[in-house]
Amino acid sequence: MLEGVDNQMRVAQEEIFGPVLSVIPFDDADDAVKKANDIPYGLASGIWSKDVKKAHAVARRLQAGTVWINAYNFYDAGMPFGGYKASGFGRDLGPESLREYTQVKSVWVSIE
Amino acid sequence: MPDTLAPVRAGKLIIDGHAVDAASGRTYTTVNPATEEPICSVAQAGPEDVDRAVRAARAAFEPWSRMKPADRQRILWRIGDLVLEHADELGRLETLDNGKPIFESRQIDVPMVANCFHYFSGWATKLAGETLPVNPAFFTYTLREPLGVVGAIIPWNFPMIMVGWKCAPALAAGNCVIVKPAELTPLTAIRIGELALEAGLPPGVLNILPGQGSVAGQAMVQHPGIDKITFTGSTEVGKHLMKSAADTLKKITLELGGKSPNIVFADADLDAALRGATTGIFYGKGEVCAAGSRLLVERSIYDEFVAKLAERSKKILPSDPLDPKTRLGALVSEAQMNKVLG
Repeated sequence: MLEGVDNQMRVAQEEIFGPVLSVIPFDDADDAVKKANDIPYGLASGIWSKDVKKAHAVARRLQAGTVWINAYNFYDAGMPFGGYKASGFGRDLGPESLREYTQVKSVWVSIE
Repeated sequence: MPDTLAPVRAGKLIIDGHAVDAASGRTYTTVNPATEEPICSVAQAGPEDVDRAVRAARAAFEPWSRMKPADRQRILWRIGDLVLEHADELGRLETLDNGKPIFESRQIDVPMVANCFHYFSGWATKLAGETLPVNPAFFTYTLREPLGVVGAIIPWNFPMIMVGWKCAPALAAGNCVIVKPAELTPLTAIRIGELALEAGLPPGVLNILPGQGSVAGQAMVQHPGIDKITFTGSTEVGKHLMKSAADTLKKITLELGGKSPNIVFADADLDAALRGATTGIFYGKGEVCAAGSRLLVERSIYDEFVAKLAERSKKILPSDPLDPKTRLGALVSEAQMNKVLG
């Protein structure tokens, strides 16, 4: 656990892919959103708050394919999962994923 | 001896419904990262094997995509059931191969794979086009059709979950699939490939090709007989894949890296947030694309929260992944460990 990390430091910007946590302080919701989004990636995010309005408002402003509110790391076959920005495109799971594996044919039948 | 304790059989390729050796005869050894002991030998697919799998998948595509959706649904549901019936065996294989705690493999990953096959089996009978009355002189409608052959290139952090995520929707929609599991963790994908055949999936519909990304994976991306690549892995490999896929105009889906923010406001239930911050980074040893690896904490509670989190983290120590009480396992390989340690 690395505390007091500046969001611009390499440990805060690059994926380590191991149990290494950067802890970053913020001042208010605007500052939290700014720091949360100030990264090339946009896969997932978490919000912890008892204030329903704030939690939903922040959820809309996060550039991430998944937002967990008062939870983290939940998945279901029925809920789409995938990235914004450099975390990719297209979606696994949920009804959305079926678009990834199908194509549409338009058929015109003259009836006059 | 219960099957969960049986020695692990050598891994083969699954092509056209058969367990086969690589055309080149090549094999490699997959290793238990917790002990660094070999688990078993695995056939290593090369371009010729990709070609064989594509031919099998293309031949299987027409009958599979024209099968009555209710029959496809029944087979996919049965795969989900067989995954649950083999939960102990699959959980142990995953933990041996990947190093993640057996608690995660058995209680989270296995049910998720079954969840995928059960959920998407239902879609087989519900995919539909639309009637779009644009002109009275015409009857106009759309058909929603499968793509053909899908190549799924999957990572080592969720080897069996990714088989469920990628294959279940692709198969439900009537595609055939070629899976290339990560070289480090091929065993559960091979086993699920066998269970799918047992469930009645026709030969060639699902083929499994363990091998190297730069060889078998690259051959799949370049093969004109594959219509789509779905990839989960690093951003770096994703960029390379996107460029390579341009030559055959393949459709692609990329699920890449992350550095996800986990935001704790001062008005949060702090005990719940502590638990969330902990599982956010320690689940799957942090080798999780969605890991909450950037913890943002509101300044007014920062010192208190960080102190409590440090206290909590100290109690989470890596131990034997096969022990059901273990919550932090072994990183997937020595190379990955060195990378994490910087």
